Amino acid sequence: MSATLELSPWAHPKSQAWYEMLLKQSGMLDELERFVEQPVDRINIPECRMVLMLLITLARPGIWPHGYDNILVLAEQKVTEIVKQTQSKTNRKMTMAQHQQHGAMMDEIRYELEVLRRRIGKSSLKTPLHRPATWKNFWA
Amino acid sequence: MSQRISPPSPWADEDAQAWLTSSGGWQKIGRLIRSTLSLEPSEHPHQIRAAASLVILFGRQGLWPQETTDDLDEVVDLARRKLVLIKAFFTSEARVKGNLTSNPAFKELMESLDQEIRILESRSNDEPTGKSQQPPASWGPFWQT
Repeated sequence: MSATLELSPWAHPKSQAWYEMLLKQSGMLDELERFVEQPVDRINIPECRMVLMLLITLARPGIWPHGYDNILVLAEQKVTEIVKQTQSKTNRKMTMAQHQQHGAMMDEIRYELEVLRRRIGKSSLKTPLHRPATWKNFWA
Repeated sequence: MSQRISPPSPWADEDAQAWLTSSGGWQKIGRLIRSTLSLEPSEHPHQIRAAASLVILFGRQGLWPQETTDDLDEVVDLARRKLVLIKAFFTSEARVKGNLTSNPAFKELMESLDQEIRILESRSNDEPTGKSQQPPASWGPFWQT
């Protein structure tokens, strides 16, 4: 260990090389790229949120390898489009409870999208971002 | 007035779980993390801590790529034990290389490792006992960066 202490798990060059090896050797980067390249009508909301979760946690300096920001940019564009389309397709036959549930889900995905936007410098929010509301017990 | 129903977490949804479970890349990530955690802490402390960080982030029901029913418990416990050994290794190294133990950055690293260990201890319990709403000290502004 050098006198200059590296503090976070992703600060040390050996850690960074390990994360890069992991994401490339597993094929996960390729899978994420294929996912975000799909037409929006083939992506459902739960899968979309799972991918957002993976990108929010992994896409940070030290973990996310150089040269793969196109995945983040494309993911932001696709989720934005999905949110827009889902809003316009809201079923008029929904009950009040279903409407509320749907609204809560859309609020949550919009917030998760905002966290990703902050990560790629596209967020319009000026306030600090917090843990998304449904990611309960995240640090427990 | 009806109460607003909270949606599930991204990893609690069965459709999302099915998609992730079908991902070959995700299964390989699980195997690579496990193999890294089995390395010698004094030789690969940074790689092991990196692997443990992903157990903290992804080692939860519905998210971890489980190969057996006990797999999640085992990997969480393995990551916890390895972080304990890494903390001891860093402390020993700091003593050997001078007065690093009194360095504020070293103390912050130790505090962060303690928090990382506590999160994994909490995860080992059926009901999480951890009360922290914040990431470990050295993980920075986690939601901003």
